[in-house]
Amino acid sequence: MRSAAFNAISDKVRAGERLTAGDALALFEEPDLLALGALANEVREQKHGDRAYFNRNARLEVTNVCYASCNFCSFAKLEEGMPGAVTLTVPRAIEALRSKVDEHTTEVHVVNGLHPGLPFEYYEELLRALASAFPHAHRKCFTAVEIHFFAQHYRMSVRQVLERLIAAGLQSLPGGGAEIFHPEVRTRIAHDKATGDEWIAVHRESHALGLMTNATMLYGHIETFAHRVDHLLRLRELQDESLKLGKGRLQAFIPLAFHPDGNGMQKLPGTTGVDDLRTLAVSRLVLDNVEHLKAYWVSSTPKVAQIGLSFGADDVDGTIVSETIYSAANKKAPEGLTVDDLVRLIREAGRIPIERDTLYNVVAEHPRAALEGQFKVRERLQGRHLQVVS
Amino acid sequence: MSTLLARALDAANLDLLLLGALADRMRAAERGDVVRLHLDRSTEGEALDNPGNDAHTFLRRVATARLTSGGPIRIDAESVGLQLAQVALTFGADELVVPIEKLSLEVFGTEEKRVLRERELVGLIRSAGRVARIVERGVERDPDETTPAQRRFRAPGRDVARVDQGDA
Repeated sequence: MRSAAFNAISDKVRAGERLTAGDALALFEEPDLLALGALANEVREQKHGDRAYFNRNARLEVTNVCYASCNFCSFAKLEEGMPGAVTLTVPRAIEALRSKVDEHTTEVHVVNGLHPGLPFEYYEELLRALASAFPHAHRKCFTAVEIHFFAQHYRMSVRQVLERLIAAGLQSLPGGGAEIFHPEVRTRIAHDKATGDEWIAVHRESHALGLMTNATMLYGHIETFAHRVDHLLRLRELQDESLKLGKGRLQAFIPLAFHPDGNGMQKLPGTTGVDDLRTLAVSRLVLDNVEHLKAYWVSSTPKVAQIGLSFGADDVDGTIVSETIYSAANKKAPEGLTVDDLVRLIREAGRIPIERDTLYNVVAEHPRAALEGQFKVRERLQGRHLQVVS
Repeated sequence: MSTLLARALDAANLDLLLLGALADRMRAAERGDVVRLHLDRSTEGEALDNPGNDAHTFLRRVATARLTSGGPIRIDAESVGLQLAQVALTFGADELVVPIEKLSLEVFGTEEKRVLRERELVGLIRSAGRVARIVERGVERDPDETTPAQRRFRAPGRDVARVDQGDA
Protein backbone atom coordinates (compact mmCIF):
# COMPACT_ATOMS: atom_id res chain seq x y z
CA MET A 1 0.00 0.00 0.00
CA ARG A 2 2.76 2.45 0.80
CA SER A 3 4.34 4.08 -2.24
CA ALA A 4 7.88 3.56 -3.50
CA ALA A 5 8.52 7.26 -2.90
CA PHE A 6 7.61 6.73 0.73
CA ASN A 7 10.18 4.01 1.19
CA ALA A 8 12.89 6.24 -0.27
CA ILE A 9 11.85 9.06 2.08
CA SER A 10 11.89 6.69 5.07
CA ASP A 11 15.50 5.82 4.23
CA LYS A 12 16.37 9.52 4.14
CA VAL A 13 14.70 10.17 7.47
CA ARG A 14 16.47 7.26 9.12
CA ALA A 15 19.80 8.44 7.68
CA GLY A 16 19.15 11.87 9.20
CA GLU A 17 18.97 13.57 5.81
CA ARG A 18 16.91 16.69 5.29
CA LEU A 19 13.69 16.35 3.29
CA THR A 20 13.08 18.40 0.14
CA ALA A 21 9.88 20.17 -0.93
CA GLY A 22 9.20 17.23 -3.24
CA ASP A 23 9.57 14.77 -0.37
CA ALA A 24 7.23 16.81 1.80
CA LEU A 25 4.60 16.93 -0.94
CA ALA A 26 4.89 13.17 -1.46
CA LEU A 27 4.33 12.67 2.28
CA PHE A 28 1.16 14.79 2.22
CA GLU A 29 -0.06 12.59 -0.65
CA GLU A 30 1.03 9.26 0.85
CA PRO A 31 -1.98 6.95 0.98
CA ASP A 32 -0.70 4.84 3.89
CA LEU A 33 -1.53 7.10 6.83
CA LEU A 34 -0.31 4.69 9.50
CA ALA A 35 3.06 4.15 7.84
CA LEU A 36 3.48 7.94 7.70
CA GLY A 37 2.49 8.20 11.36
CA ALA A 38 4.89 5.46 12.38
CA LEU A 39 7.79 7.21 10.63
CA ALA A 40 6.97 10.52 12.35
CA ASN A 41 6.70 8.63 15.62
CA GLU A 42 10.23 7.26 15.19
CA VAL A 43 11.55 10.83 14.97
CA ARG A 44 9.35 11.91 17.87
CA GLU A 45 10.65 9.10 20.09
CA GLN A 46 14.25 9.83 19.14
CA LYS A 47 13.77 13.41 20.28
CA HIS A 48 11.49 12.94 23.27
CA GLY A 49 11.16 9.25 24.11
CA ASP A 50 7.79 8.65 25.75
CA ARG A 51 7.53 12.13 27.19
CA ALA A 52 4.49 14.24 26.35
CA TYR A 53 4.31 17.82 27.55
CA PHE A 54 1.56 20.08 28.76
CA ASN A 55 1.38 23.26 30.81
CA ARG A 56 -0.95 25.24 33.01
CA ASN A 57 -1.79 28.41 31.21
CA ALA A 58 -4.45 31.05 31.22
CA ARG A 59 -5.50 32.99 28.19
CA LEU A 60 -6.59 36.55 27.88
CA GLU A 61 -7.84 38.59 24.96
CA VAL A 62 -7.95 42.24 26.02
CA THR A 63 -9.69 43.42 22.89
CA ASN A 64 -11.54 41.83 20.00
CA VAL A 65 -11.69 45.09 18.10
CA CYS A 66 -9.62 44.50 14.97
CA TYR A 67 -9.08 46.51 11.84
CA ALA A 68 -8.08 43.39 9.87
CA SER A 69 -10.85 41.46 8.16
CA CYS A 70 -9.52 37.90 7.86
CA ASN A 71 -12.11 35.61 6.30
CA PHE A 72 -11.41 32.72 8.65
CA CYS A 73 -11.96 34.66 11.87
CA SER A 74 -15.09 34.35 14.00
CA PHE A 75 -13.58 36.29 16.89
CA ALA A 76 -12.89 39.85 15.80
CA LYS A 77 -15.40 42.64 15.78
CA LEU A 78 -14.25 45.29 13.37
CA GLU A 79 -15.00 48.46 15.27
CA GLU A 80 -15.40 49.73 18.80
CA GLY A 81 -19.10 50.05 19.57
CA MET A 82 -20.19 47.14 17.37
CA PRO A 83 -22.34 44.54 19.15
CA GLY A 84 -20.05 42.19 21.04
CA ALA A 85 -16.99 44.44 20.77
CA VAL A 86 -15.05 44.41 24.02
CA THR A 87 -11.91 46.26 25.11
CA LEU A 88 -10.73 45.84 28.69
CA THR A 89 -8.94 48.52 30.66
CA VAL A 90 -5.71 47.30 32.25
CA PRO A 91 -7.27 46.93 35.75
CA ARG A 92 -10.25 45.06 34.24
CA ALA A 93 -7.87 42.77 32.33
CA ILE A 94 -5.99 41.89 35.51
CA GLU A 95 -9.27 41.32 37.32
CA ALA A 96 -10.47 39.04 34.51
CA LEU A 97 -7.29 36.98 34.86
CA ARG A 98 -7.46 36.68 38.65
CA SER A 99 -10.16 34.03 38.45
CA LYS A 100 -8.12 31.99 35.95
CA VAL A 101 -4.62 32.23 37.42
CA ASP A 102 -3.60 30.38 40.57
CA GLU A 103 -0.20 29.70 42.13
CA HIS A 104 0.36 26.75 39.78
CA THR A 105 -0.26 28.72 36.59
CA THR A 106 3.05 29.09 34.77
CA GLU A 107 1.97 31.07 31.73
CA VAL A 108 -0.27 33.93 30.74
CA HIS A 109 -1.00 33.92 27.03
CA VAL A 110 -2.29 37.22 25.66
CA VAL A 111 -3.35 37.78 22.04
CA ASN A 112 -5.61 40.51 20.75
CA GLY A 113 -7.31 42.14 17.83
CA LEU A 114 -5.48 44.96 16.04
CA HIS A 115 -7.12 47.87 17.83
CA PRO A 116 -6.43 51.15 16.03
CA GLY A 117 -7.55 53.37 18.93
CA LEU A 118 -5.32 52.40 21.86
CA PRO A 119 -2.05 54.15 22.73
CA PHE A 120 1.11 52.01 22.66
CA GLU A 121 1.57 52.74 26.36
CA TYR A 122 -1.54 50.67 27.00
CA TYR A 123 0.36 47.49 26.07
CA GLU A 124 3.40 48.45 28.12
CA GLU A 125 1.18 49.16 31.09
CA LEU A 126 -0.58 45.82 30.58
CA LEU A 127 2.74 43.93 30.67
CA ARG A 128 3.89 45.74 33.79
CA ALA A 129 0.55 45.05 35.48
CA LEU A 130 0.77 41.35 34.55
CA ALA A 131 4.30 41.17 35.94
CA SER A 132 3.28 42.72 39.21
CA ALA A 133 0.00 40.81 39.65
CA PHE A 134 1.29 37.39 38.55
CA PRO A 135 5.08 37.42 38.88
CA HIS A 136 5.27 33.60 38.68
CA ALA A 137 3.50 33.41 35.31
CA HIS A 138 5.57 33.73 32.14
CA ARG A 139 4.25 36.45 29.83
CA LYS A 140 3.79 35.07 26.31
CA CYS A 141 2.09 37.95 24.59
CA PHE A 142 1.24 39.39 21.16
CA THR A 143 1.50 37.54 17.88
CA ALA A 144 3.90 38.69 15.18
CA VAL A 145 0.89 40.20 13.41
CA GLU A 146 0.26 42.44 16.42
CA ILE A 147 3.94 43.38 16.72
CA HIS A 148 4.00 44.28 13.03
CA PHE A 149 0.81 46.32 13.48
CA PHE A 150 2.33 48.17 16.46
CA ALA A 151 5.37 49.06 14.37
CA GLN A 152 3.25 50.44 11.54
CA HIS A 153 0.59 52.07 13.65
CA TYR A 154 2.86 53.73 16.21
CA ARG A 155 5.58 54.53 13.65
CA MET A 156 8.42 52.54 15.14
CA SER A 157 10.68 49.82 13.83
CA VAL A 158 9.86 46.23 14.77
CA ARG A 159 13.02 46.20 16.88
CA GLN A 160 11.95 49.34 18.78
CA VAL A 161 8.53 47.83 19.47
CA LEU A 162 10.09 44.61 20.74
CA GLU A 163 12.67 46.41 22.88
CA ARG A 164 10.03 48.54 24.55
CA LEU A 165 7.76 45.56 25.18
CA ILE A 166 10.65 43.48 26.53
CA ALA A 167 11.55 46.35 28.85
CA ALA A 168 7.93 46.33 30.06
CA GLY A 169 8.01 42.58 30.75
CA LEU A 170 7.41 40.64 27.52
CA GLN A 171 9.08 37.21 27.75
CA SER A 172 8.17 35.34 24.58
CA LEU A 173 5.93 35.46 21.53
CA PRO A 174 3.11 33.04 20.74
CA GLY A 175 2.95 31.53 17.26
CA GLY A 176 -0.35 32.92 16.02
CA GLY A 177 -1.06 34.96 12.92
CA ALA A 178 1.08 32.81 10.63
CA GLU A 179 -1.99 31.33 8.83
CA ILE A 180 -0.54 30.37 5.43
CA PHE A 181 2.48 32.41 4.32
CA HIS A 182 2.14 31.93 0.58
CA PRO A 183 0.70 35.10 -1.03
CA GLU A 184 -1.62 33.12 -3.31
CA VAL A 185 -3.53 32.11 -0.20
CA ARG A 186 -2.72 34.91 2.21
CA THR A 187 -4.00 37.68 -0.05
CA ARG A 188 -7.34 35.86 -0.23
CA ILE A 189 -7.83 35.03 3.44
CA ALA A 190 -5.91 37.75 5.30
CA HIS A 191 -5.15 40.57 2.91
CA ASP A 192 -4.87 43.46 5.36
CA LYS A 193 -2.41 42.30 7.99
CA ALA A 194 1.28 41.33 8.10
CA THR A 195 2.40 39.37 5.03
CA GLY A 196 4.22 36.08 5.37
CA ASP A 197 7.59 37.79 4.98
CA GLU A 198 6.65 40.40 7.58
CA TRP A 199 5.53 37.71 10.03
CA ILE A 200 8.85 35.93 9.59
CA ALA A 201 10.78 39.19 9.94
CA VAL A 202 9.18 39.81 13.36
CA HIS A 203 10.22 36.36 14.55
CA ARG A 204 13.71 36.78 13.14
CA GLU A 205 14.06 40.06 15.04
CA SER A 206 12.61 38.50 18.21
CA HIS A 207 15.08 35.64 18.02
CA ALA A 208 17.95 38.10 17.55
CA LEU A 209 16.81 39.81 20.77
CA GLY A 210 16.87 36.46 22.58
CA LEU A 211 13.14 35.78 22.68
CA MET A 212 11.74 32.29 22.26
CA THR A 213 8.75 32.07 19.93
CA ASN A 214 6.31 29.54 18.52
CA ALA A 215 4.89 29.18 15.03
CA THR A 216 1.50 28.06 13.75
CA MET A 217 -0.11 27.14 10.43
CA LEU A 218 -3.84 27.47 9.79
CA TYR A 219 -4.70 24.66 7.38
CA GLY A 220 -7.72 22.99 5.88
CA HIS A 221 -9.34 25.93 4.08
CA ILE A 222 -8.43 27.03 0.55
CA GLU A 223 -4.75 26.13 0.58
CA THR A 224 -3.16 23.21 -1.28
CA PHE A 225 -0.60 20.75 0.06
CA ALA A 226 2.03 22.72 -1.88
CA HIS A 227 1.15 25.85 0.13
CA ARG A 228 1.55 23.90 3.37
CA VAL A 229 4.92 22.62 2.23
CA ASP A 230 6.03 26.15 1.36
CA HIS A 231 4.93 27.29 4.83
CA LEU A 232 6.90 24.55 6.59
CA LEU A 233 10.04 25.19 4.54
CA ARG A 234 9.96 28.92 5.26
CA LEU A 235 9.82 28.16 8.97
CA ARG A 236 12.66 25.65 8.68
CA GLU A 237 14.76 28.27 6.91
CA LEU A 238 14.01 30.88 9.59
CA GLN A 239 14.98 28.38 12.28
CA ASP A 240 18.27 27.59 10.50
CA GLU A 241 19.17 31.27 10.62
CA SER A 242 18.14 31.68 14.25
CA LEU A 243 19.98 28.58 15.41
CA LYS A 244 23.10 29.87 13.68
CA LEU A 245 22.77 33.11 15.61
CA GLY A 246 22.31 31.12 18.82
CA LYS A 247 19.98 33.43 20.76
CA GLY A 248 16.22 32.93 20.51
CA ARG A 249 14.53 30.31 18.33
CA LEU A 250 11.25 28.62 17.47
CA GLN A 251 10.40 26.28 20.31
CA ALA A 252 7.28 24.62 18.99
CA PHE A 253 5.28 24.31 15.81
CA ILE A 254 1.49 24.16 16.14
CA PRO A 255 -0.68 23.23 13.17
CA LEU A 256 -4.15 24.74 13.63
CA ALA A 257 -7.17 23.09 12.03
CA PHE A 258 -9.43 25.60 10.33
CA HIS A 259 -12.94 25.71 11.74
CA PRO A 260 -15.65 26.96 9.49
CA ASP A 261 -18.51 28.12 11.73
CA GLY A 262 -19.43 31.74 12.22
CA ASN A 263 -16.88 33.23 9.81
CA GLY A 264 -16.59 34.28 6.19
CA MET A 265 -15.58 30.81 5.01
CA GLN A 266 -18.35 28.74 6.57
CA LYS A 267 -19.24 26.98 3.35
CA LEU A 268 -15.96 25.08 3.49
CA PRO A 269 -16.09 21.65 5.10
CA GLY A 270 -13.30 22.09 7.67
CA THR A 271 -10.55 19.61 8.39
CA THR A 272 -10.87 15.92 9.06
CA GLY A 273 -9.21 13.68 11.63
CA VAL A 274 -7.10 12.02 8.96
CA ASP A 275 -5.89 15.37 7.66
CA ASP A 276 -5.08 16.56 11.20
CA LEU A 277 -2.93 13.48 11.86
CA ARG A 278 -1.30 13.61 8.44
CA THR A 279 -0.39 17.28 8.94
CA LEU A 280 1.16 16.55 12.33
CA ALA A 281 3.21 13.68 10.92
CA VAL A 282 4.51 15.61 7.89
CA SER A 283 5.32 18.62 10.10
CA ARG A 284 7.38 16.41 12.42
CA LEU A 285 9.33 14.99 9.50
CA VAL A 286 9.95 18.25 7.65
CA LEU A 287 10.70 20.54 10.60
CA ASP A 288 13.79 18.63 11.66
CA ASN A 289 15.22 21.68 13.46
CA VAL A 290 12.19 22.54 15.60
CA GLU A 291 12.20 20.71 18.92
CA HIS A 292 8.52 20.45 19.76
CA LEU A 293 5.33 19.70 17.85
CA LYS A 294 2.03 20.52 19.46
CA ALA A 295 -1.26 18.72 18.90
CA TYR A 296 -3.38 21.64 20.08
CA TRP A 297 -6.45 19.97 21.58
CA VAL A 298 -8.64 23.05 21.26
CA SER A 299 -8.24 23.01 17.51
CA SER A 300 -8.29 19.29 16.77
CA THR A 301 -10.48 18.01 19.67
CA PRO A 302 -8.95 16.17 22.68
CA LYS A 303 -9.53 12.79 21.00
CA VAL A 304 -7.54 13.56 17.86
CA ALA A 305 -4.88 15.40 19.90
CA GLN A 306 -4.40 12.25 21.96
CA ILE A 307 -3.87 10.14 18.83
CA GLY A 308 -1.56 12.91 17.60
CA LEU A 309 0.86 11.84 20.34
CA SER A 310 1.44 8.71 18.22
CA PHE A 311 1.77 10.69 14.97
CA GLY A 312 4.74 12.90 15.83
CA ALA A 313 3.36 15.32 18.42
CA ASP A 314 4.98 15.58 21.86
CA ASP A 315 2.87 18.33 23.40
CA VAL A 316 -0.86 18.88 23.88
CA ASP A 317 -0.65 22.52 24.99
CA GLY A 318 -2.22 23.51 28.24
CA THR A 319 -5.21 23.63 30.48
CA ILE A 320 -6.18 26.91 28.78
CA VAL A 321 -8.59 28.41 31.22
CA SER A 322 -10.91 30.37 28.95
CA GLU A 323 -10.24 30.45 25.24
CA THR A 324 -12.48 32.61 23.12
CA ILE A 325 -11.09 32.54 19.60
CA TYR A 326 -11.89 28.94 18.69
CA SER A 327 -15.02 29.00 20.83
CA ALA A 328 -16.24 31.89 18.70
CA ALA A 329 -16.19 29.43 15.81
CA ASN A 330 -18.70 27.32 17.79
CA LYS A 331 -16.22 24.54 18.37
CA LYS A 332 -17.65 21.70 20.39
CA ALA A 333 -14.38 21.28 22.29
CA PRO A 334 -14.65 21.88 26.03
CA GLU A 335 -13.45 25.29 27.12
CA GLY A 336 -10.75 24.07 29.47
CA LEU A 337 -9.27 20.71 30.42
CA THR A 338 -8.08 20.19 33.97
CA VAL A 339 -4.61 18.95 34.79
CA ASP A 340 -6.15 15.59 35.68
CA ASP A 341 -7.85 15.46 32.28
CA LEU A 342 -4.58 16.15 30.48
CA VAL A 343 -2.57 13.70 32.59
CA ARG A 344 -5.15 10.99 31.97
CA LEU A 345 -5.30 11.76 28.23
CA ILE A 346 -1.51 11.44 27.94
CA ARG A 347 -1.26 8.30 30.07
CA GLU A 348 -4.01 6.58 28.12
CA ALA A 349 -1.91 7.22 25.04
CA GLY A 350 0.92 5.28 26.69
CA ARG A 351 3.09 8.38 27.24
CA ILE A 352 4.59 9.99 30.31
CA PRO A 353 2.92 13.30 31.17
CA ILE A 354 5.44 16.06 31.83
CA GLU A 355 4.17 19.36 33.11
CA ARG A 356 6.37 22.09 31.67
CA ASP A 357 6.66 25.84 31.81
CA THR A 358 6.66 28.01 28.67
CA LEU A 359 10.37 27.44 28.08
CA TYR A 360 10.03 23.66 28.48
CA ASN A 361 11.61 23.51 31.91
CA VAL A 362 10.09 20.58 33.78
CA VAL A 363 7.65 21.64 36.48
CA ALA A 364 6.47 18.17 37.48
CA GLU A 365 6.59 14.65 36.11
CA HIS A 366 3.65 12.37 36.47
CA PRO A 367 5.16 8.87 36.16
CA ARG A 368 3.04 6.03 34.94
CA ALA A 369 3.22 4.29 38.32
CA ALA A 370 1.08 7.05 39.74
CA LEU A 371 -1.71 5.78 37.54
CA GLU A 372 -2.17 2.80 39.83
CA GLY A 373 -2.34 5.10 42.81
CA GLN A 374 0.88 3.67 44.26
CA PHE A 375 2.60 7.01 44.41
CA LYS A 376 1.65 10.54 44.91
CA VAL A 377 3.59 13.06 42.93
CA ARG A 378 4.66 16.11 44.76
CA GLU A 379 4.74 18.97 42.37
CA ARG A 380 7.43 21.55 42.76
CA LEU A 381 7.00 24.75 40.93
CA GLN A 382 10.53 25.66 40.02
CA GLY A 383 12.15 22.25 40.49
CA ARG A 384 13.56 20.20 37.67
CA HIS A 385 13.66 16.95 39.59
CA LEU A 386 11.08 14.37 40.09
CA GLN A 387 9.93 13.79 43.62
CA VAL A 388 7.91 10.73 44.36
CA VAL A 389 6.56 10.20 47.83
CA SER A 390 4.78 7.00 48.71
CA MET B 1 -10.84 -18.66 19.76
CA SER B 2 -11.37 -15.01 18.95
CA THR B 3 -11.57 -14.13 22.65
CA LEU B 4 -8.25 -15.89 23.18
CA LEU B 5 -6.72 -13.98 20.29
CA ALA B 6 -8.13 -10.72 21.65
CA ARG B 7 -6.54 -11.51 25.03
CA ALA B 8 -3.24 -12.37 23.42
CA LEU B 9 -3.26 -9.12 21.44
CA ASP B 10 -4.09 -7.22 24.58
CA ALA B 11 -1.26 -8.92 26.48
CA ALA B 12 1.22 -8.30 23.65
CA ASN B 13 0.45 -4.59 24.06
CA LEU B 14 1.54 -3.81 20.50
CA ASP B 15 2.31 -0.27 19.49
CA LEU B 16 -0.93 1.45 18.46
CA LEU B 17 0.14 2.12 14.89
CA LEU B 18 1.52 -1.39 14.42
CA LEU B 19 -1.75 -2.88 15.65
CA GLY B 20 -3.63 -0.46 13.38
CA ALA B 21 -1.49 -1.32 10.37
CA LEU B 22 -2.15 -5.05 10.88
CA ALA B 23 -5.87 -4.41 11.18
CA ASP B 24 -5.84 -2.16 8.12
CA ARG B 25 -4.14 -4.87 6.01
CA MET B 26 -6.70 -7.38 7.17
CA ARG B 27 -9.55 -4.98 6.44
CA ALA B 28 -8.22 -4.41 2.90
CA ALA B 29 -7.91 -8.15 2.27
CA GLU B 30 -11.25 -9.15 3.81
CA ARG B 31 -13.51 -6.22 3.10
CA GLY B 32 -11.92 -4.16 0.30
CA ASP B 33 -12.10 -0.38 0.15
CA VAL B 34 -15.84 0.13 0.44
CA VAL B 35 -17.12 1.97 3.50
CA ARG B 36 -20.84 1.64 4.20
CA LEU B 37 -22.33 4.81 5.60
CA HIS B 38 -25.54 4.07 7.52
CA LEU B 39 -27.72 7.17 7.68
CA ASP B 40 -30.06 5.56 10.22
CA ARG B 41 -29.99 2.79 12.80
CA SER B 42 -32.24 0.41 10.89
CA THR B 43 -29.46 -2.12 10.12
CA GLU B 44 -28.96 -4.78 12.77
CA GLY B 45 -25.63 -5.22 14.45
CA GLU B 46 -23.56 -3.53 17.10
CA ALA B 47 -21.58 -0.34 16.55
CA LEU B 48 -18.47 0.53 18.57
CA ASP B 49 -18.89 3.71 20.57
CA ASN B 50 -16.64 6.03 22.58
CA PRO B 51 -18.36 8.66 24.65
CA GLY B 52 -15.21 9.64 26.60
CA ASN B 53 -11.98 11.30 25.52
CA ASP B 54 -9.79 8.18 25.40
CA ALA B 55 -9.35 7.79 21.67
CA HIS B 56 -6.25 5.64 22.08
CA THR B 57 -8.09 2.79 23.81
CA PHE B 58 -10.95 3.16 21.36
CA LEU B 59 -8.70 2.71 18.31
CA ARG B 60 -7.12 -0.35 19.96
CA ARG B 61 -10.63 -1.77 20.37
CA VAL B 62 -11.41 -1.12 16.71
CA ALA B 63 -8.18 -2.76 15.50
CA THR B 64 -8.56 -5.72 17.87
CA ALA B 65 -12.15 -6.21 16.73
CA ARG B 66 -10.97 -6.36 13.11
CA LEU B 67 -8.21 -8.83 13.91
CA THR B 68 -10.37 -11.12 16.02
CA SER B 69 -13.71 -11.20 14.23
CA GLY B 70 -14.75 -11.36 10.61
CA GLY B 71 -17.47 -9.25 9.04
CA PRO B 72 -18.15 -5.56 9.25
CA ILE B 73 -16.61 -3.39 11.96
CA ARG B 74 -19.07 -0.60 12.52
CA ILE B 75 -18.44 2.73 14.26
CA ASP B 76 -21.09 4.80 16.00
CA ALA B 77 -19.89 8.14 14.66
CA GLU B 78 -22.42 10.02 16.74
CA SER B 79 -20.73 9.06 20.02
CA VAL B 80 -17.19 8.79 18.63
CA GLY B 81 -17.17 12.10 16.79
CA LEU B 82 -16.73 12.41 13.03
CA GLN B 83 -13.02 13.21 13.17
CA LEU B 84 -12.06 10.15 15.18
CA ALA B 85 -14.61 8.00 13.33
CA GLN B 86 -12.79 8.86 10.12
CA VAL B 87 -9.46 7.92 11.68
CA ALA B 88 -11.00 4.59 12.77
CA LEU B 89 -11.44 3.75 9.08
CA THR B 90 -7.65 3.43 8.87
CA PHE B 91 -7.60 1.15 11.95
CA GLY B 92 -9.76 -1.61 10.50
CA ALA B 93 -13.29 -0.17 10.50
CA ASP B 94 -15.43 -0.33 7.37
CA GLU B 95 -18.85 0.97 8.40
CA LEU B 96 -20.03 4.24 9.93
CA VAL B 97 -23.38 4.92 11.55
CA VAL B 98 -24.43 8.57 11.42
CA PRO B 99 -28.17 8.83 11.99
CA ILE B 100 -28.73 11.78 9.73
CA GLU B 101 -32.54 11.64 9.80
CA LYS B 102 -32.57 12.54 13.44
CA LEU B 103 -29.96 15.20 12.89
CA SER B 104 -31.77 16.60 9.91
CA LEU B 105 -34.96 17.04 11.87
CA GLU B 106 -33.46 18.33 15.06
CA VAL B 107 -30.49 20.32 13.86
CA PHE B 108 -30.76 21.13 10.21
CA GLY B 109 -34.44 21.44 9.65
CA THR B 110 -34.22 21.79 5.92
CA GLU B 111 -33.72 19.24 3.22
CA GLU B 112 -31.00 21.24 1.52
CA LYS B 113 -28.76 21.18 4.54
CA ARG B 114 -29.41 17.47 4.88
CA VAL B 115 -28.07 16.90 1.40
CA LEU B 116 -25.03 19.02 2.21
CA ARG B 117 -24.47 16.94 5.32
CA GLU B 118 -24.65 13.73 3.31
CA ARG B 119 -22.06 15.05 0.87
CA GLU B 120 -19.82 16.13 3.70
CA LEU B 121 -19.94 12.62 5.16
CA VAL B 122 -19.17 11.05 1.78
CA GLY B 123 -16.28 13.52 1.43
CA LEU B 124 -14.96 12.37 4.80
CA ILE B 125 -14.84 8.76 3.58
CA ARG B 126 -13.29 9.69 0.25
CA SER B 127 -10.61 11.84 1.83
CA ALA B 128 -9.62 8.78 3.87
CA GLY B 129 -8.92 7.14 0.49
CA ARG B 130 -11.99 4.91 0.48
CA VAL B 131 -15.12 4.26 -1.55
CA ALA B 132 -18.43 5.32 0.00
CA ARG B 133 -21.77 3.48 -0.22
CA ILE B 134 -24.85 4.88 1.48
CA VAL B 135 -27.30 2.65 3.36
CA GLU B 136 -30.62 4.16 4.25
CA ARG B 137 -33.76 2.33 5.43
CA GLY B 138 -32.03 -0.92 4.56
CA VAL B 139 -31.39 0.13 0.94
CA GLU B 140 -27.84 0.54 -0.31
CA ARG B 141 -26.95 3.06 -2.99
CA ASP B 142 -24.09 4.83 -4.68
CA PRO B 143 -23.73 8.37 -3.25
CA ASP B 144 -23.42 9.83 -6.76
CA GLU B 145 -26.76 8.39 -7.70
CA THR B 146 -29.08 11.29 -6.93
CA THR B 147 -32.26 11.05 -4.98
CA PRO B 148 -35.26 13.22 -5.91
CA ALA B 149 -34.42 15.53 -3.02
CA GLN B 150 -30.89 15.97 -4.32
CA ARG B 151 -32.12 16.60 -7.84
CA ARG B 152 -34.24 19.44 -6.56
CA PHE B 153 -31.31 20.81 -4.64
CA ARG B 154 -28.68 20.42 -7.32
CA ALA B 155 -30.68 21.96 -10.12
CA PRO B 156 -29.48 25.49 -10.93
CA GLY B 157 -32.99 26.84 -10.24
CA ARG B 158 -36.07 25.30 -8.71
CA ASP B 159 -38.00 25.86 -11.96
CA VAL B 160 -35.64 23.54 -13.78
CA ALA B 161 -36.10 20.91 -11.10
CA ARG B 162 -39.83 21.18 -11.46
CA VAL B 163 -39.56 20.61 -15.21
CA ASP B 164 -37.46 17.51 -14.53
CA GLN B 165 -40.09 16.15 -12.23
CA GLY B 166 -42.81 17.03 -14.67
CA ASP B 167 -41.05 14.95 -17.31
CA ALA B 168 -40.89 12.03 -14.95
